[in-house]
Amino acid sequence: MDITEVFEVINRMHTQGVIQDYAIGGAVGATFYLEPISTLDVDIFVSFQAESQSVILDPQPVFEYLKSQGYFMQGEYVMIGGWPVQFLPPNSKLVEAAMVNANSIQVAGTTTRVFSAEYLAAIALETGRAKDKARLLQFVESGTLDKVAFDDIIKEQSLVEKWKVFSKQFLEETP
Amino acid sequence: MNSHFQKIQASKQRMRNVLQELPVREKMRLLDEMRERAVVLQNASNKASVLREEQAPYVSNQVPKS
Repeated sequence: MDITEVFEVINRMHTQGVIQDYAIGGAVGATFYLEPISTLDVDIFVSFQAESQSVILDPQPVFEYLKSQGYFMQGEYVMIGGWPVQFLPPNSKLVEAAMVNANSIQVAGTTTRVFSAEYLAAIALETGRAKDKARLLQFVESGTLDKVAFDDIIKEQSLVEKWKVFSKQFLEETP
Repeated sequence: MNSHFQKIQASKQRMRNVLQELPVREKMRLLDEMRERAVVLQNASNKASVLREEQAPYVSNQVPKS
């Protein structure tokens, strides 16, 4: 297993124009800011090249490129460096904004794009599954969040009510 | 919450802080290790999710004679 191979491959794809923009999200993205979080896969959000006169964004060139480099598909994943990698389109305004505001971070000599801690926390709030709530709590307790930036995001993305519910449920002291 | 539990919680938080402050390369190495372990466990559970015993050799040979 070598997750840095994933970063090298995705960076190469970006440099060679196979993908326009990308950022790492999910548990791997969160691990850049928190303690390592065990996960089964790597989530990479990608802006796919839009085909001319088509609103459908086509991920096919990504898979063709990776196949040509000797990587293989396993279900909806591409196996890179022993890791199942999932390429996901930005599926909400929040994720689109997270991609625009992603951080560039060096790992083992490779620059990689990662969602910021504040956007990862906001995405966890928006997604709202049990594991997302646990991750959001980790972000809050770790002290890594820039509270002003996080507040701006949740206001901009209409997540204030969800945040109030979450805060009441998990952050207020119980007797 | 009693003081013993508070100590445990504080100790866990200290450990989490130490892990959080590790260099990114080291954290990624730990992710690799955790995935390797998950794959081993997954393969083990795919082969035999329930512990099975081979049939005892005497079962078919010892049908009581009527």
